Amino acid sequence: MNEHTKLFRQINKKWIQNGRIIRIAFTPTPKDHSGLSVFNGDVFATAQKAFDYFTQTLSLSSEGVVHVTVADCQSVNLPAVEDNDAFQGHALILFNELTRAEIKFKSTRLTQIAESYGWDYKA
Amino acid sequence: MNNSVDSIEVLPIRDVPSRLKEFIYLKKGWLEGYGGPFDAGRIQELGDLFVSHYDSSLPLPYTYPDEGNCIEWEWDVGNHSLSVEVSMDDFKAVAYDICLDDDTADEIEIGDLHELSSWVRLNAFVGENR
Repeated sequence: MNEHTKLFRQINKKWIQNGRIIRIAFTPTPKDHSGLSVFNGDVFATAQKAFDYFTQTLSLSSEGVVHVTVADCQSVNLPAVEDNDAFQGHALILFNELTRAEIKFKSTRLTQIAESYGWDYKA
Repeated sequence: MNNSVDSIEVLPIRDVPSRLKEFIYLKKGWLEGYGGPFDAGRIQELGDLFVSHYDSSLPLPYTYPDEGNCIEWEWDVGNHSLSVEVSMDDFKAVAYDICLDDDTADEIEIGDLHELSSWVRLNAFVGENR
C-alpha cells in the first residue's frame, strides 16, 4: 500500500438514514479491537470487487462501499496497515491508545472525507 | 365503506420513535455476525422518554443502532458534529461534541435517561450548539 491506496469500507444498511452515513461508520467497535476493517484497494481493484467478496464469499451484509485513502488516514494521524490474516487484501486502520472522544473526532473526519468522495459502489 | 380521511399526519423525516422501532426487528448477528437483538420493551421505553422530554424546538437527531447494545443519536449543527450514545443496558447516555473548525472533541456525561435532569443536560447540550 502507498499513500494513494484506496481503503474500501463496507456500509451496513442500518448505518444510513435519509441518505446520510452514520459518523461511526468509520469507528472501530468492540468486535474490531481498535482496528477498523477495510479492503486494500491495491488488491481489490474496484469497490464492486470488494463488495462482491464481502457479500458473496464472506456472506455478510452491505449496502454499498465508500473509501478513504491511506493519506486521508495519515491526515488524522491514523496508521493504515495490511493485515492479510482474515483474507488476502484485508487491511486495518489502527485506532490504538486513543480516548473515546479522540476516536469520535477521527472517525467523524474520515466519514466526512468518504462522503466527499461519494459512493464507490451501491447495491 | 368510506375510505376518506380527515387529515394526514406527515412524520418528520427523522422521527425518532419510528426509527427506533425498526431496530426491534434486527436479528442476532445483524452486524457482520455481531450485535444482538434489541429488547422491544426498552426500545419502546426510550422512544417514549424521547417524546416526553426532548425539547421539540431542537433539531431531531439521526438515529442508529450500535452492535454493543447502544443507540446512537447524531446531529450536524453548524460546525459541530454532536452525538449521544445511549446504553440500552442501563439507559445511561454520554455525549460527544466534535468541533470541526478547531479539531477539538469533548466528552460530556449526560446520565441516566430515566431522570429528568439528564434530559435537561441533553437538551442543553444540543441547544448550546445550535
